Amino acid sequence: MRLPDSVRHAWAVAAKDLLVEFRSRTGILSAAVFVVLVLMVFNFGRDPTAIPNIVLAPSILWVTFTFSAIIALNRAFQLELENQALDGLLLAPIGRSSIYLGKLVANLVFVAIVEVIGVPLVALFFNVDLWSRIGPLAGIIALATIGFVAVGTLFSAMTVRTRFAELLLPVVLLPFMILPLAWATLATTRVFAGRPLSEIGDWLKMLAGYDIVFVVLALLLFPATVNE
Amino acid sequence: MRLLRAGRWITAIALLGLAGVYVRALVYTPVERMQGLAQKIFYLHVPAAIWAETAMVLVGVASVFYLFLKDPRLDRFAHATAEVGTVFAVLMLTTGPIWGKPIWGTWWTWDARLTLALFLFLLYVGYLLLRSAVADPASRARFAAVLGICGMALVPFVHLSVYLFRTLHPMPIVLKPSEPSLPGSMLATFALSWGVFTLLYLGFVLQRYALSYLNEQLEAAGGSSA
Amino acid sequence: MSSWKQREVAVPETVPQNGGYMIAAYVITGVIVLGYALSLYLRARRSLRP
Repeated sequence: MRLPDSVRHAWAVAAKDLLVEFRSRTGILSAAVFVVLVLMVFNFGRDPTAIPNIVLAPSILWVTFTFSAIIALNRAFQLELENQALDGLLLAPIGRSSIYLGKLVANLVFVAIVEVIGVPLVALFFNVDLWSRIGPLAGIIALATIGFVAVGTLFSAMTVRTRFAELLLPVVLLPFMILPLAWATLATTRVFAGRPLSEIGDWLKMLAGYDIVFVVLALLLFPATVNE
Repeated sequence: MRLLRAGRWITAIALLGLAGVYVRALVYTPVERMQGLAQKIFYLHVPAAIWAETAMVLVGVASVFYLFLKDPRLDRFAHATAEVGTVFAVLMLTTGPIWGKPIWGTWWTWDARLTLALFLFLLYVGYLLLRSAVADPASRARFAAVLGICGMALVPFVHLSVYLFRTLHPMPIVLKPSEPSLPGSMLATFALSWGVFTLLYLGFVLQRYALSYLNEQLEAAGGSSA
Repeated sequence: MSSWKQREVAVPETVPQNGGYMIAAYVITGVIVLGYALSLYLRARRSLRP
């Protein structure tokens, strides 16, 4: 069965980005080092007798993921910009939505890799049992990540050509990140505390609703960010 | 410029009206027994809140129409409303905690209005910063419209979050902080204040719109713009 | 008002003395509103001059 053109094109865009990323490996490496660094700093900085790990772990987890997402997003359109390849990408006979989807997928993969590295590290450094709750945890992480990466990918297309692009993106993205982040942290805290799954149901629904609304909105609005 | 003059007149009337509201609220409106004098902050905070949120919705709506119609007047209006909305959001963010401290005993709490105030403020600031960072006017209008629409879409999620959070973390209510059922005199003061804030919004937006237009003319003529 | 009794929340005999907050809020509001009005006026004047 042949996939529709838009999907194949999106995958081509994503594959190109990921290939470049993996060939140079600097992106993944810096992100991995960054995660380890942040976790180590948090680990040394806290008093183990004061606050139990399990209370801190969700916030630390999400802080690391958020920073990594911002790093990934700032790089999203940088590649094309530096090589003046954005026009080339736009001239290619593929729909604008494919470009967005491709970028989205590439960004998600990048952040997912950071998250896959980060979760076991958090479990290790903070001596927290995450494996038994890996299912709901993975669900929360996936939904929240899609949420802010979807909006972030859209915004990065707009900020990439501005003067203080790396600063502007987080500032503009901030309110859109706080919400999924807050819900995810609240839900993660409950998961770590061993609360029954029913309690996080509402947060998951909010996250899912957010994802649907903003992915659709981003798909609709993306052409406005690149049309000349 | 006609719009500028109209805006200035309306603003002047609104400012006089605001003075009137001050007098009426401070002197001629009864003191609420449970909250005391601090409750009178309500007459300023709530109308500001109504317009801060309404302005965000207007930015979103104007942005949607702009993307379809490409009329620069819509973009100018969105920009003006966003800047004025920022002012009202700042009003919310300052009067809110000042009201909250004596009532809840804390400067900040994640209640409905304060949380919304913070988000509106962040959205407005991001919108204005994005506008100032994009040099090309056509891109600027388009990008601002995209952000404006996303901002408008975010607001319902903020409301939902607060509602969800509140059902899980009921706030310790020592005094009843939200609008008490208003007896006639208080209701009248509130209505007057809301009317004045509406005029204020109108006057400000007209002036800001006219200012944008003036600056565009200057830019087009090759001169320096403010 | 039996609900008050049930929760044993004290109903204040006198009105709470928090006038200072009221004044602060009203002053700040005035400053912000007047400040913005002035800013608009001055900016327009500057743009009209050349």
